[in-house]
Amino acid sequence: MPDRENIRVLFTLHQGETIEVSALPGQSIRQVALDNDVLGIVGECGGSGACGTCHAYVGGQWTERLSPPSEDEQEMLEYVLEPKPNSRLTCQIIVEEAIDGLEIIVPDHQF
Amino acid sequence: MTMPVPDHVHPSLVTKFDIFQPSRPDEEYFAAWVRFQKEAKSQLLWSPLHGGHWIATDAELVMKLYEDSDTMSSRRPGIPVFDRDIDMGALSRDPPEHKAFRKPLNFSLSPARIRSMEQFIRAAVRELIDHLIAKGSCEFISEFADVIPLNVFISMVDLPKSDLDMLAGWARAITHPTAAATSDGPAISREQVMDALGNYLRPYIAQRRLQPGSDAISEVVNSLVDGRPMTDAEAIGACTHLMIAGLDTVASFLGFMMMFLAESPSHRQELVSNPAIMSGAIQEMIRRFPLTVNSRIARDEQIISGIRIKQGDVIALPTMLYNLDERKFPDPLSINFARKVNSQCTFGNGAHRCAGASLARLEIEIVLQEWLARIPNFRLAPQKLDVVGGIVASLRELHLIWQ
Ligand code: HEM
Repeated sequence: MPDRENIRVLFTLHQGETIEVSALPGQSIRQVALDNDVLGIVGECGGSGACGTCHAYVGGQWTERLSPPSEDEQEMLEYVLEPKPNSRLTCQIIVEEAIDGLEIIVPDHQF
Repeated sequence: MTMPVPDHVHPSLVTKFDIFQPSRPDEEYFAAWVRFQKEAKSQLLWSPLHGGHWIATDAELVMKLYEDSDTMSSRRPGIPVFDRDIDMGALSRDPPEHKAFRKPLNFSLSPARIRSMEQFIRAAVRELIDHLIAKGSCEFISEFADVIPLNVFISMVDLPKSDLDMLAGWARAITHPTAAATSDGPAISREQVMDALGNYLRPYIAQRRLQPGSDAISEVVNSLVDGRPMTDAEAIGACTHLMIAGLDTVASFLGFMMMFLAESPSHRQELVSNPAIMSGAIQEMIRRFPLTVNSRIARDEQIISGIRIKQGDVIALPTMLYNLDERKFPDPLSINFARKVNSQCTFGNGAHRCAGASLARLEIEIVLQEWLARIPNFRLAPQKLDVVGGIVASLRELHLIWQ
């Protein structure tokens, strides 16, 4: 795999520790989290945006830099536990070069 | 209600499998589904029982059809299909109309809202366990599993506690059509139950329109549909389903969970000694005990997995066939609290995905915590365990003993 295809994603976990993992373009952040055993991101519906259990917060300036959530995602985000302005469903964020260095903060609870 | 096989169904696709009574003699309920899936020669099979319907047998297809509101309609939920259109709020509506009915549910049942009910639920669970503990035994389904979700529902919708038994009976008649038909009481059709429920709810709905409270009925009946207030008929449908959806399902799940824990001291020990695994353990048990067989109606004639489906055909979507598929979850019938369950179908999928999943999970968590704290050791009394199949499968009785 050429290096430029490895895009970095940083997850801040429950204990406050941050881990860096590499992701492939086209994957969802939910999938990246699952592949790397990031606890606290579930996505019971399999990543279709139907359940709201892959909710996380994006760090730093990333809220503005990501393409904004769709109307459906926004609605789902109204009902997650502790929604914040930087809330996102990780199944709806797709890995691409432009998100290299994306910071994701895992919430304390999904349910 | 066995029906002649329609012309468009090839005889090789017809199965004798009964979704409401899947087991062969002495075959465990969930094992029957695993066997059925292994033996299935096609992703869709036709059953002439219960009015005639397809059964999706492939895990991915089940998940996909739950999600696919474009080709699949929810307008007549349930098998056999009701003999007329029945209003069950969000459940019986297709997108985009579905959304207006789903919104108040999302609000009333949001994780944040549900967390605020935690103290109430915990107190109710503790009180009931304290009441049972000295007896040293109980019939768990009627004495516990049926009681807790009803109490939670009654408080959520703010209806009188004295109506509990009546409401429970109605809910059961709808989710267990076969059991209701063969029980000793006078046969009452699901249509009659829906009418009775409507009559019961109507005065409450009228009153909550005038004086809205903070209960779920008030929220549902005062929500807008396309900018206009919900009609009485719509409100009755929505409230009726809210009740049906959250009672039997949770009760049934609690039954299966306790049946399992009664027989597995090691899993109980794991939970008691390491509460941190609770969330993953619940997730795994929710995977292992999928309860419902929901259904869809084909909107148009179409080809699915190479098979021709006619407009109006009923398709059963057994959640068991996703969660217990050994290609998804190796050794699917065994429970491993460390198993990674990254997707599961117990709550359905897509637009209709269970609105009450957070509430269900919280009830389960509280029951586990409080029961294990008070009665860490319990076992099955000698008995024959009997699963009643239905839209929601459940144990008829579960006798537990402790001390
Ligand atoms: C373990 C317990 C439960 C299970 C297994 C379960 C399962 C399901 C399933 C499979 C569906 C999808 C039906 C379909 O696609 O046709 C559903 C929908 C629904 N559930 Fe649950 N459920 C449970 C508990 C609850 C509770 C506690 C409530 C709330 C009081 C609830 C409320 C609903 C509602 C309102 C819908 C309809 C959503 C819609 O159509 O948009 N459920 N449930």
